[in-house]
Amino acid sequence: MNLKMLAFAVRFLQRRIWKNIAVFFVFWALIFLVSSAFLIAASIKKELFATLEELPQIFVQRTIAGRLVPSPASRIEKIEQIAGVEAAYGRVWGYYYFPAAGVNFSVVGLDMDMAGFTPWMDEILASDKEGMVVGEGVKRVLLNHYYKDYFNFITPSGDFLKVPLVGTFPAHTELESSDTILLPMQVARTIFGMPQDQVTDIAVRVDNPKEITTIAAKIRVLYPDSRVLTRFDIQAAYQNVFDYKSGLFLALMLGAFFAFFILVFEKMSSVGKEERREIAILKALGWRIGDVLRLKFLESFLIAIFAYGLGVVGAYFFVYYLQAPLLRNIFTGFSVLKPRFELIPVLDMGLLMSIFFATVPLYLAATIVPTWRSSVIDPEEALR
Amino acid sequence: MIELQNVSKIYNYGTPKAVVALEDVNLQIEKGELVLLMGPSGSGKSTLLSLIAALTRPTKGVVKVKNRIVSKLPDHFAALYRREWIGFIFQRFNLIEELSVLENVLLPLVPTSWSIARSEERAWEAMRRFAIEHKAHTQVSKLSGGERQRVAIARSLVLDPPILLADEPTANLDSALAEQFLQLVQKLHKQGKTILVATHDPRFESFGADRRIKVEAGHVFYA
Repeated sequence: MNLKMLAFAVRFLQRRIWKNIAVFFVFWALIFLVSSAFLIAASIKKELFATLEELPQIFVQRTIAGRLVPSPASRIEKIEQIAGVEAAYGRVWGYYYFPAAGVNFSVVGLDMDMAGFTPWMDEILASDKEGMVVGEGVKRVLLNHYYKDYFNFITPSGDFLKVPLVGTFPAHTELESSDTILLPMQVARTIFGMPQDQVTDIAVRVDNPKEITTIAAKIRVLYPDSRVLTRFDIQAAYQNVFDYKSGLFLALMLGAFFAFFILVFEKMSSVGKEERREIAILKALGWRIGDVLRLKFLESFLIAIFAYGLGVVGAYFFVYYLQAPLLRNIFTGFSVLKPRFELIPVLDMGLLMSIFFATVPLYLAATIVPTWRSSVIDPEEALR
Repeated sequence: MIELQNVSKIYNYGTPKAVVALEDVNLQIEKGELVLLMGPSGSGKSTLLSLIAALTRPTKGVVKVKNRIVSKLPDHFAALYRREWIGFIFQRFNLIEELSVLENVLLPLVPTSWSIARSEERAWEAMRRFAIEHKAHTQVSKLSGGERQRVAIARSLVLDPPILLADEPTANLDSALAEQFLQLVQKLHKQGKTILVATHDPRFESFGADRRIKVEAGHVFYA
């Protein structure tokens, strides 16, 4: 490494300081925005998929004319008899509108006597199996309306139903549990006015994860009117949503990409008269074409590598320390019950490498190609 | 030392805009000679120097330096030849305006394998030699014409090349500075350098050169 060359590259950059700062800024902004978007998506995906791992492997719903309808509770027992099924249990769930706050709560009714749903829930329910466990978002809304220890639901018949608040979901599940109220199935039926022998869907646990697809197929054969969702289907659906949102975000950033490509094109297509003269002076002083290219490469590399490095570090800081204000809403949506989850740091080297290779070499090529074109002509011609 | 054999240079060769700069020139310059190339503007003096410095190639003929053909050197070796053999003082100095005096003088040393310390030492030595060291950290754009010329000379001689080519070196200088330059050339000549000065400055009329060569309309006439 020729340190003199590096020192001169820095000096040459300093000469056109404002132009180089502008180039640096455009490059930095592009890297920052792209990295931020991908880091948010990666973080949310990681958290979401970690949470999804705790879900039952199969959900069974019933449809009539393509619409979801409650399933008879008798199906639970039949499904449990399928070989390989560890357990099946019914759930009653739906949306409860709370007009004072203008929000919908996701109400989920479970058989609270069933053990092993998740360890943390068993812990909460150990004290009181008649109350409700709520997400952080629900808790915030209830507190804003002075409901600290209980909430009064209004049933379809217009009666009040007072349900005590016995716990909240742990913070790490807030992304999916923020708007959720978990309570005994019987209470949920009362809130929704559902008949005793019906459930909204059936959750199924399987002994051997390799058999999930086979058991799902068996359930479809047993109940042809059912819609059977495996955990993989749900993961794929979430994956699609986040990929779609990442794509949407990138589309919104077309402006930044456009600015970057104009920059690249401008550099590709022209070496100014002054720059051509400089290259000729260097050659007249005994610089080889390779020396000139090395100098110009170092100049561009310094801009590109600092823009890339600071862009990625800035994005990391913005996403994981500042929690990506504004930007995260694109991924999580705008809502009163918007989860206040923490974006968990994820450093996907493959992703960072992809961003690097999609931008830095392009910019370097945009500098090297016209410099090479200028340096192969006779120095005398450029100096004349 | 320097030999031109049947050298012609035609710019834009093969196009309607073709211009003959030199035609069938034969010239021989011995080692340690101080030669003046005299002639009006556009006569081909600068082209002659550019050919010797391998800054351009002849359309016809060969240029030899120390019996090596330099006019056909590939770009890579032409650059190494210039670095090792040629110090070139351009008419408009061709300094890089935004760099300091020291940085300009350092430029020929950058692609060499010399260490930073050794390069800087050599650059300071060259600046001292041409009395410009007090302006080492001044940006070239802030220098006077005379100071610029001294920077250009220091830069051209920083690698101590055996051949010095000067193209209209006094064109932008007043009489006092021109006189200083003439003295400097004499001094370098005494040190054994082979020097070619292209000029149409009448102040060189009485200058004690070994030889004067008249260049006119692309032809060389020995005085």
